[in-house]
This record gives sequence, C-alpha cells and structure tokens, in this order.
Amino acid sequence: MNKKDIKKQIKHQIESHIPQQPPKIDWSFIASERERIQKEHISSKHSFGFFKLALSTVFTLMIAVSLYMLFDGFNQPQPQPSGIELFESEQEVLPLSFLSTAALLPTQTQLSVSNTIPLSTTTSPVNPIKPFLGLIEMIFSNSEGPQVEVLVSDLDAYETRVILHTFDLLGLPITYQMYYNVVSFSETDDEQTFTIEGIMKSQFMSYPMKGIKEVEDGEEKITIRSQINETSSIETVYQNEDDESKYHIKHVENNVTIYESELKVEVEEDKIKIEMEIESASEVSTYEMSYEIEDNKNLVKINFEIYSLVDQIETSGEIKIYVMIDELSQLSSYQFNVKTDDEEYTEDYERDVKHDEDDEDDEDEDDEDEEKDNEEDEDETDDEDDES
Amino acid sequence: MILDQRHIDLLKQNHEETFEKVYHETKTSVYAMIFSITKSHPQTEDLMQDVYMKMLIKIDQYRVGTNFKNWILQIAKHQAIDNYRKKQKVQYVDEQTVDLLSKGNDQNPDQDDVMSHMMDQLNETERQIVLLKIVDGLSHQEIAKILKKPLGTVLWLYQRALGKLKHYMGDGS
Repeated sequence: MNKKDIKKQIKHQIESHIPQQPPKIDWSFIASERERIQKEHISSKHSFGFFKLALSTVFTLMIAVSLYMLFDGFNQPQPQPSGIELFESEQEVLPLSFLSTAALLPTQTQLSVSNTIPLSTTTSPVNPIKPFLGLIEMIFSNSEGPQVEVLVSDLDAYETRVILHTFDLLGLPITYQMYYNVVSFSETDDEQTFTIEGIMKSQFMSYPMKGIKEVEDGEEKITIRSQINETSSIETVYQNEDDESKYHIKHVENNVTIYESELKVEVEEDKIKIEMEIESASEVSTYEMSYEIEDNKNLVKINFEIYSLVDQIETSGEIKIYVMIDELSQLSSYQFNVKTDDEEYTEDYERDVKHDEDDEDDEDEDDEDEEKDNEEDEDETDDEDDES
Repeated sequence: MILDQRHIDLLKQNHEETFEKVYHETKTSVYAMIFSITKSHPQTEDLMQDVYMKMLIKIDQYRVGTNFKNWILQIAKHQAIDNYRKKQKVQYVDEQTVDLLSKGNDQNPDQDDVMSHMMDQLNETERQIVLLKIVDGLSHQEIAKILKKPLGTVLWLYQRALGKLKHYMGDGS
C-alpha cells in the first residue's frame, strides 16, 4: 500500500466516526458551572483583599529595610554560596554543560581560518556532526564524565576556577578551564536559581561566559552561554523535565541560529550510547552512536536518519568513524565510512583537537564581562510548508 | 479560526447557532486530537461532548484575537490525557478484554481493527501529527504551533510516521 492510499484510509476511517451533529448541551449546567467558577474567582479575590493591607505593610517595611541596607551599608555581602559551593551543588550538570560548550568553541586554528567552527554546507550525512566530533570523542573516552578540579581562582577578577580534565579517543589529555564569579543567587524551599559570569579558556583562547539557572513551572534549566564574538555564541541548555534530562546545544552566528541540537547520553552496563538530533535550516538529522571495537580497531558507529527540509527526502544509513594517524607526520585525521541504501564511500576530515600541550595560563585576563543581552535566539525556520 | 467578541458573547448567551458553527469548524481537529491519545472511537466520541462542554464553561478564558482552534485543541488534549490517567487508575483489564470491548462497541470492527493496529505503530506525537495533517488537513506550521514543537521536528516526525505506516501496511496487508 502506498502513502497516498494510507492517508486516504486514515482520513476515511476517522471521518466516518466523527459525530456530524454537535453534542446536546445542557445549557443550564454550563450556566451554573460558569457561575460557580466566577464565585470562586471573586471569593479568592476577596480573601486576597483581606491580606492586601498586611501585605502592603510588609512590602513597605521590606523596601525600607532594603533602602536602609543600600544607603547605610551593612557592608555585609548577600548570603550567597561561593563559586566552589555552587559548583558542588550542581556537579551532576555543570561539568557536562561546561564541557559541551567548551568543546564546541573554535580553536585558534579554526578562528584564524574562518572565524567559526566547521559547519555543514552540503548534504553529506557526516557534515552535521563534524562540529561535535571533539565532544563525542570526549564523551566516549570518559564514561564517568570529565575529572573536575574546583579551586580558588588564581586570577584577581574571578573567585572560582574550574579545571576539566578529559581525554580524546587516542587517550591524549585535554583540559578546559573556567573562571567565574557568582553574580546572583536565590533559594526558596527546594528551588535554587543563580547567575554566574566569567570566562572559558580553551588552549590559548578565552571567551566570555555566562551561566544561568532558572526554575519555571517546576522545571529547572541551566544555561551556559559562551560568546565567540559580539554576534556569535555557543549555548548549552540543560533541562530536566518529565523525569528526563537533556542537553540542548545552540550555535548562533551573526545573530542567526545555525543549528540546534539535542544531546542525550546513556550509560548501560558500561556502554555509552549518544543520541543526537541536530536541526539546521535545511535538514533535521538524528544520530545514534556507540563506541565499538571491530577487527581490533576502535571506532564510533553511528546509525543516522536525515530528513531534508528542502527537497523532503529522507536518507538513512550507517557511518563508521575511525581516528587515523599518519605514521610519518604523526598528524591525526578522521576517516568516515559512510553506507546508505544507494551508496558507500569513504571521506577524510581534518582532526583539530584541543590538546593541552603548552597550555599554561601565563597571560593576565581582563575582567571583561561582556554583558550580552540575554535575548533568546529563537530559531525561526521559515521554511515553506510541505503540503502534500 | 479566530473568534471575535461578538461570537464570545453569543456563546455566553447560549446561542445554539453559533455553537453549531464553532462545532462544525473544529470537530475534525478535536476528534483527531482526542483519538490520537485514546486510540478508541467510543472513548473519543464520549470525550467530544466533554471538550465542548468545557470550552463553553471556560469561554471567558479564551483571549479574543488568538487562534481559537489552537485553544480548543489544548482543551481536547488535556481532557483526553486526564481521561486516560483516570482510566489507568481504575481499570485493570488484559489486552484481550480491551480488544473484545472495543470490538463490541465499534460499528465497524474490521476497519477499526486495522486502524487501531496502524495507530499502535506510532507514538503519541506521531499520531497527533499524522491525524491533524491527514484528517483535518492542517499545515505543518499550524501543527507545530499546536504541539509547540519546531517545524523541522514536525516535518521529520510526519515523514517518519508515514514511513512506519507504509512499512507496516506493506508487511501486514
């Protein structure tokens, strides 16, 4: 049966059941329900009114106390945790948030070439994941997440220093560093929100970084945004909703969202599985990745499905990624073996990993907290609708 | 579909004709949305009444100038989910009993069976997208707004769902 017939069958089947006549409405019941709701609304308004006076007194007192504290100066800092305490209270989330953001920041080489991280321009199934290869390597190499050191900062401008130690698939060490201050903090019952501001260091580069934890309707969200320049940024949002935790990663370039991706990492019986959905203006791609050993070679095995929003074609297949080392130059590269229903081919790609050789922080960092507007860059995919 | 203040006032005054007009313009989407959650025609038919009752009771909460269909579909979705939860709490029956019950209630058991199995191939979101698209002819953009999902995801899920159905029907019939 073809898709057209399936659609016809579904339409016919459903339509045959839709009641053609509107339901009989008990209007008196509707009226009494409306009345009841209205009464409840009014009584809640009234009961609120009783508290209004008391509340306004409390508010007046609070304002008076705040003004007193502001002008008289208690000279006491707001009771907020140190950066170290704050990191420790969020150690389930912050390391991977920091790592995801840091791993996607451009290296010095990439910056000097194109001022951006590599992005897809063609329809190769490998292209959407290219920016994530470093991160994928690190997740597969460290099943328990990166090793974290939380220290008192050695830079005057910042209070806290976090060092993340991780490895690539060749076992070579990679280090990222973050320096930050806790800018705001509040805690009510079991809800905690905060803002941190600082810098993220990768190799010789450092980028302004801002972290926000918000709680909306009981769902917590931690956003780490790092600015590549005034108009480009990498943002990682950790969201915990309906008992499921996900990382959303967004890359904005020239104030336009280049791609948005969703990252899920599962560890089952010591085996790591990564699921990724990447959305760009032209396609939606999903990847399921695992780290395997085949014929004594380590490889990342990926099953993918890509839906092109331009020509509405779906492609699926398998990619095997090998890390290759040139024996003479000792330079490494990726080799992709791509297999789809129609073709099979091999593709090479330069591997630009941020190893921490000579990555000593001897330069002074400016306390330049570039306060970027926290505007939301909603990805408006204005693609034309597919009307079949 | 956008209702103006005049329509709202008429609905508040129990104006049957206006209600009928609203029903005919929304019934297909509302049915599709409820069915995508219940997967049962008898339950969907029962819930249709509840949804329209709720809409009339809460008509004051509709913001004039916004999309009425989106609003009533949210009511339909919540009503169906509530009903599903309640049913889960009180009913403990095996699959065979469910099959027998649904066969007994449905007017057209064979076709309904096929439909039910087709719907079983899809998850809830895929069912919502497929039914709103195919049965009511909503655009992907409209569905994306109703389900609060990115357009790309809706397009992707729609194609995937059709692929699943094609695969199932190819193999199964």
